[in-house]
Amino acid sequence: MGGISDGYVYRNCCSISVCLVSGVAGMGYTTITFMIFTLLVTTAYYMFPVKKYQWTVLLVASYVFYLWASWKYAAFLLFTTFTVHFAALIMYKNSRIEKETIVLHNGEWNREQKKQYKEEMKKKRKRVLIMVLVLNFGILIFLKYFNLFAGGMNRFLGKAGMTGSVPILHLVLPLGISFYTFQSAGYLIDVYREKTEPERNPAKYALFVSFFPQIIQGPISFYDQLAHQLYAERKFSYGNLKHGALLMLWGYLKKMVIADRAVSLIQMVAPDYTQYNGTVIFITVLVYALQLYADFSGGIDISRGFAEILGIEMAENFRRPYFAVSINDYWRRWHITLGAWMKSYVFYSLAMSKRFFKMGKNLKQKYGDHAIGAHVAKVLPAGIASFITFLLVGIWHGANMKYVAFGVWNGGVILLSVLMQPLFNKAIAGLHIQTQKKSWHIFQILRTFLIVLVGYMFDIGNNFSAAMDMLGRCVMDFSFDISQITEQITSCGMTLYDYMLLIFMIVLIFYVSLIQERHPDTTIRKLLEEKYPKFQWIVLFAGLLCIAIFGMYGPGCNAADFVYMQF
Amino acid sequence: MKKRILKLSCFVLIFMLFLSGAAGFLKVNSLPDSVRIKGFYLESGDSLDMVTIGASETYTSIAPGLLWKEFGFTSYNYSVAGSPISIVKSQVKEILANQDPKVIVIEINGALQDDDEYQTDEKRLRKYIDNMPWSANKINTIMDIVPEDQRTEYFIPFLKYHSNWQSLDLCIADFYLQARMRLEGGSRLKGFQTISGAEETKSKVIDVTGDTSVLPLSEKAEYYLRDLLQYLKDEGIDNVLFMRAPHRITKKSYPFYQRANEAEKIIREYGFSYVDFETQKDEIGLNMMEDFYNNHHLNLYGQKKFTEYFGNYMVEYYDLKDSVHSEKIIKSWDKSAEDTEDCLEYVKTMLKDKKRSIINEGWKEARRFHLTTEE
Repeated sequence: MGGISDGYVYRNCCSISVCLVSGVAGMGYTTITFMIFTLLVTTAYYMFPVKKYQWTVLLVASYVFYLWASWKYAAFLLFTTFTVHFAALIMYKNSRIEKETIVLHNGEWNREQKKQYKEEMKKKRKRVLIMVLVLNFGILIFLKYFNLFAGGMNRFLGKAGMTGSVPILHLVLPLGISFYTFQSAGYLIDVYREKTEPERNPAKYALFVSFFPQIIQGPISFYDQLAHQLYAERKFSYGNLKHGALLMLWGYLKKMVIADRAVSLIQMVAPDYTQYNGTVIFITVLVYALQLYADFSGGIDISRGFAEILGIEMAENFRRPYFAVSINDYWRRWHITLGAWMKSYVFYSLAMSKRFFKMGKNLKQKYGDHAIGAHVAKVLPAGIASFITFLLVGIWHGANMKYVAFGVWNGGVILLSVLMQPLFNKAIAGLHIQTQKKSWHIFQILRTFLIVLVGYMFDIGNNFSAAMDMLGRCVMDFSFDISQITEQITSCGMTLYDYMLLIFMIVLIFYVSLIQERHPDTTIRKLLEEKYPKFQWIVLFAGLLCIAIFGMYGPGCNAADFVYMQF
Repeated sequence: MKKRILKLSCFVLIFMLFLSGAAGFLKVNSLPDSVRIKGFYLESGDSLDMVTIGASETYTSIAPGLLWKEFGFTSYNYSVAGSPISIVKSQVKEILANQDPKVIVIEINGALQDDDEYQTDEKRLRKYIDNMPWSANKINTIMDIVPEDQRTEYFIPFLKYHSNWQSLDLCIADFYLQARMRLEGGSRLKGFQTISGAEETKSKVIDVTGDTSVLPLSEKAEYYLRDLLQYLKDEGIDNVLFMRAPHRITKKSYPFYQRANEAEKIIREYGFSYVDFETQKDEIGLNMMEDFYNNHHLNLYGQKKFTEYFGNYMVEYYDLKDSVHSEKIIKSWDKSAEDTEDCLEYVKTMLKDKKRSIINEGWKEARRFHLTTEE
């Protein structure tokens, strides 16, 4: 899922296009400036004389990067950093006072008094938590959804024959606002839940929020997983350099050779889909699946690769998502860190809430006697929590009904599949399907991929009705006229050579993914190092040459910005 | 650690060598212009008696092979299609750095466009700049003419040309022609190009004899023209002849004629010679319907007539006849004259078959490389 909401300022009407008018893309990953910058940062980081303060290099670099790319909006980043940092300290202090007071009054207070005091203190912490979350998410929601609200209000006022209108504002999202807001909120909730101790040093905390390899498009890191790595003292490691550089290379290959090449087809077909037959629309959605994966996972590989050069291991964000056997499995493999964040802070908050427990209990009491009723009572609360979570994921992607539909589609499929599991099991048994066979596994993969493709329609369509119409055309207007299809797809900014190259890259990614799937506990880089050490140099040579020649860069090439850059 | 650094350095070195080879192979924009410009640098030092600069009017009007055969002097069309006047100063510097010609002829079409953008238009500049070898002059040319936001791509042309992997046939043809020119010690046709066919005009052809009306040049064109003239004057380069090649002037192209008159005034203001062949079409013997490929270019027949007339003019005013050259150069020019005649014979057969085609250095190989220029 990618795209950008109608509220943003961009040149093309197609949702995939994120050519922003504002200067947020000053130092994109694929620019020479960024490459030189990473080289300078690496050198400064390892050459820094006082190892204890080595992390300050990363802090300075992160702020230089942010100011360079988006200086106008740095105040938003600072606001989030300081409000969350001080809120975490206040909550922690409150929690310490609570513990000390209880110890102090150990003999005096009875159990009830202690409970009451604890609840009072927790309420105070909760108030701070909610206030800071509302402030930070409020900014995000305002910037992202205000114009949608204003548009809707104006339409309503117009229909109601009322005078006056809500002004449409020229709003631009600060670079990486969703990522750093989510990351900070996660940290604050963890401090509230007393899962983690807050960072006392505001500069160190500022580094956790602004760490530049992740600020463009994630991954969304958990404080426990990332922070201590950022502050650790490190020595240069040739192994880290090699492994990190190879991962960056793979990322650049996906981004520059595949994603930036494929984007032109989507940009041309999606906004004008009525001019193309169903087959071409279907091919466009297929290409979009490839483009989105290559763009997003490519960007993440560049981020993770550079962090690895610095000795920092960032969370994995993709695990061969198109090999998923169910939509649930897909979301465990796609944008893993967003999924993990949503699971920790939204899904569990809902599913473990008193209301959902009560719902499950009531259902069990009413329908628990029957097998189907018992199943529904067991899975429905979690299913609804999951549905709401996906609805929020959809809304997060953009201020448009099509994203709501995307959330409903994914959440709905998951809810239905959970509810109907006994029925599916019966059907599988009745049809004597051997689920351990490869053919069943492949069927599951293809089925899931088709479901994912339907979801992508909402992403590339201009709006909800366009997405539905595109979906209809894919089925009703499917054509086998090869010459017409060839003519149409080659008139969309891509030549036959481009398609041949894309097919080659698909085969390469498929092959690499297959090896990764068979060796989930290691990486291709480690496999290469252990089994074919000399082959590493050939891979490096071929990869660099491939990017140099087939990469989309230079004059005449309008490379797409990273799809998730604005989220 | 030392071993690792050594390994890495070797890798970088090998990669850079490979990449620069690939960069050279892929760096092709317009094949005829690439061959014409690069071919100039393969001519033996100080072997050219005359070098012509200008746009397509130059190489479709003058055939160096025929000039050699008829008048015995050597020449080269160091020109590119659509050449703007902004690059001429740089071209003069290149000529003087490589040759010592008795005369440099400059066709002024590049100063007559009314659009200022023409002078810095990327595709026109690249035909020349990207094909000239690296030198201080090339760097200065980029810094002086190319818009600031585009300079990086001129200094690192691979940024522009890496996508040429989609035009491998063009790259192979360029590679083949460059290799052949190097092996043979120079180009066969010396920058010559012709067009078979004759396109009749439906517009009324205007007779401009005695017409001295003027139109101002565009701001940038005048700036670059004056800059060139001042440079020539300051450097004492006086063996320069400015000219206007013959055109079929219609209502649409009449402003070009008027601007040419304005350019002539400016050129004479600096004390340089100028010859207007537009007003000498009868003397040349040009037939308005049969000798033009289109309103702007002569065809095979017109080219032959003009070359002869122009040769006589140069002999009369610049004393170029039967210049002295080494046996090796004479031999190579005799071969060039033969090749030019062969080429012209081929064009004649094409005319008989009513085929229209652009013929230049790679005419024999055009079909082999699927680069047929037949229209």
